[in-house]
Amino acid sequence: MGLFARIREINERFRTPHVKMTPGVKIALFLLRIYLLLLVGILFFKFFTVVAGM
Amino acid sequence: MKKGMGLVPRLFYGWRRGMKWIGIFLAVSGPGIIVMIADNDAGGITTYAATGARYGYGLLWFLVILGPVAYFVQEMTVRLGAVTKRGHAEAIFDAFGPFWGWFSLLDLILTDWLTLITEFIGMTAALSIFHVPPFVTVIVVSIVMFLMVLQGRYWTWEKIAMLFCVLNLVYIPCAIMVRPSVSQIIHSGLIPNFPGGFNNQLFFFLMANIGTTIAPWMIFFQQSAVVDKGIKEKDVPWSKLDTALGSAFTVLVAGFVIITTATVLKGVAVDSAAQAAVALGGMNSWLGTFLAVGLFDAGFLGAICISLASSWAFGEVFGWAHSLNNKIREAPWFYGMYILLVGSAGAVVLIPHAPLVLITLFVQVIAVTLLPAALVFLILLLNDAERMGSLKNTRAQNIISVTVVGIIVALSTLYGVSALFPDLLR
Repeated sequence: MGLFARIREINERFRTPHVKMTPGVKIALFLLRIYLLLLVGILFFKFFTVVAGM
Repeated sequence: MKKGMGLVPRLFYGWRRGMKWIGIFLAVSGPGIIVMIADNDAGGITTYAATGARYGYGLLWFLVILGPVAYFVQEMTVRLGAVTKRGHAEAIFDAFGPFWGWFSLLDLILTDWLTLITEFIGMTAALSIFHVPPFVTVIVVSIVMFLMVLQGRYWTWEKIAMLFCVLNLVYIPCAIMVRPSVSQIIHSGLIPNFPGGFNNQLFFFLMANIGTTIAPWMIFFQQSAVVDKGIKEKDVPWSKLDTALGSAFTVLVAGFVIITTATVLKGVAVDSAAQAAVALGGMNSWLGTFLAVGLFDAGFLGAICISLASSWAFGEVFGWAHSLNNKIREAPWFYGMYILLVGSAGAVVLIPHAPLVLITLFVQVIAVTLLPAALVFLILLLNDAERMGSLKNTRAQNIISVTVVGIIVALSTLYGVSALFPDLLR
């Protein structure tokens, strides 16, 4: 099986999250997304600052 | 034990029971002690050496606090692994779906690979003190790491790793040799204080110590090791003891590194543990040798655990055979991944003018993107009553773990951001 077929198969196997989506879980996942977006934003900002300074 | 039994039979019964408990503990122990001692990796030893040289014994108390913190995080992986029989990567895929699964897996691989490079930097720097060329270190270490997993038994791998853990205790004679003042250690080291006042630089050192004590790979490694070893739910109390002992050892070793540099290098700007070893070697050749051997051992222990954490994670998700109990022909992808990680990380160190300082900086930043996610998933998974049953987090455990995780996330984020913007905290 090729790599992409394997990845598709993995996505299919784990398509349905098995954790119970309580409000607490939803809030935690939402905050995690915000946190990671902010962090990635900072990383990009730093990258462009470094590139611009070259 | 029957009532009215004489003293000798009572003692004999007690001895037999004690021996049985020790036997069970020895059979179950391993993952906790190894992960905790490997936590004092090359980067960790450098941080501790720099902390001692900068603040003397002043921050020893902080390490004493970090021991239980590391325990609270790691013991959750024990319960999760024992109950679900899944590694952390697979557990995230299963519970939260492919988005969070791929994010965690790919972030783990990147973080682990970069950290592995820093372990090789530490090992080559340590052995260069003995005039061993870097390429010899990289080749020999890679072969030894390969041979360790090649023999096809988890048990053997674990016992070899435990031997290297014992070598990590070399920092204890180091500290004794420099004749530190015990009363000064107790008075200025073990009573919480902020030497020189709470300023930005001190804050940076506190964060660096947290960053080296709680690392994302540790969560993935211990959970996978618990599964590979076959730890069952009934073994969880013993596995917790294993983790608690490991956290005590990690604090002990880190403390002795700080005591060593605090006693003889206070005021010296220490940028790396290898530099500290050279400086100490100038005072006493045995001291320098011990510190260099310890640094090499720290890098080696870190490298064997980190490379396995990634290979286990990939094996779990891709459904490959991924146990150290498998022979190489039974799990070619698992061992292939392991060799690829070790070989490529070692090769980077040998590239002339490779941006090694930049890589070290990147490790801190990338780890910060993975650590909060791994910790949050850990708590959510531990609260899944359907899966965890009686071993789910209690209310008290949740209060402790949410507090601990909240503080770690806040401080490690500040650490990562301050690594990107050094002027922020100066």
